[in-house]
Amino acid sequence: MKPEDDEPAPSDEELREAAALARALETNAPTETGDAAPPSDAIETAALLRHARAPLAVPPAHEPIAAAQASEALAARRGRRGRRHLWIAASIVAPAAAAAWLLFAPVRNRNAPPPLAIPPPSPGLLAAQAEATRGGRTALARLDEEMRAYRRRYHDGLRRRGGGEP
Amino acid sequence: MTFNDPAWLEEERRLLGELRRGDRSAFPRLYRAFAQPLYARVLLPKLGDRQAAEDVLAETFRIMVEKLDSYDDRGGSIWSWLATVAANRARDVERERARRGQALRGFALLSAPLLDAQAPGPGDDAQAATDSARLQAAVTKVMDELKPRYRRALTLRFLEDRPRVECAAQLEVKVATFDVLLLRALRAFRERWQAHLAAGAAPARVPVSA
Repeated sequence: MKPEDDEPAPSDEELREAAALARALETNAPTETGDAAPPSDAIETAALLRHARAPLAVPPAHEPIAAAQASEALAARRGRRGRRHLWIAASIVAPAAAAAWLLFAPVRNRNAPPPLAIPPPSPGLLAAQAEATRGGRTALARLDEEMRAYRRRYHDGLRRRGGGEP
Repeated sequence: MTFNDPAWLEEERRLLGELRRGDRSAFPRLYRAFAQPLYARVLLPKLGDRQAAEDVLAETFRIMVEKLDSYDDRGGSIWSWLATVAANRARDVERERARRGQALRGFALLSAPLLDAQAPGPGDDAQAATDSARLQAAVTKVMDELKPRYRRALTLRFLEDRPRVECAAQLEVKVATFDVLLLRALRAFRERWQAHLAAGAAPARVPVSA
């Protein structure tokens, strides 16, 4: 300091702080390992003074930059909304389809041909059944033959109706 | 007009509704209303760096568009929500700087009592001029109270933006001596500035145009 400054001589600590402040203000570069950290109170005050000299106004060139970023976000948002709508549509359509199926399936069954009535047993079959209850090998053989004939009649009826054999 | 003015709230709601429906033409009006106060009152003071403040400002508007569907105004302006988003992002940038060991710092603690004295409103050039005028007038007033040598050092280095070698030459001292002088000048300025703020009033009352 010059004698006329009437300033006390700086301490070692103050010299270190002053050097660190000068470096920080000069470059704003990251401090090297071992460098003293610049005093934050002085750095903060320097920032206030630096910005006090110019208007605190957003530069006009900033608006198109912000608008472009917002536009991208709007487009992405539209995409997300589209996908969400697809999910909503799918979640509405699936239960609706299930409900429709439940409603119309009985109708479809009503349109199907009525079940084939079981043919009445022939007198021969009834007689063979009565004879078989009394026992005897020939009675059982005759019952078997009558039952085969009865089943054949039933299957023929199914075929004519178009339902196929069970 | 402030952001709580019913006329503004009505317009803000209409613009946000249009933007929600994907109408891009609503964006410029919203940008012009909020960019200036976000920049001058939140971002620049917090970050102390114009480029970083501009980057976070653009990001704040992007986040606004992205989260528009989940935003619920609850009868108030989106200003508080935007200011919070901007402040949070600025804090992230500060943390990143600290991690990298960068010395850049904001001045929010020093400027907030002055700038926040007036409620924010839809930003325009007049408001930017008002904020700047208040800050400049306050700085000038505090500078006037400093020792002439300190005032000269601060003026040369920060208001005239001269290199420190030139500042030292102007003050006829060695560069290392100028560094000490500047440190002391900054601390003296800060002390006077805080004394004015603590007095409860803005450091300077200046007539400002509306």
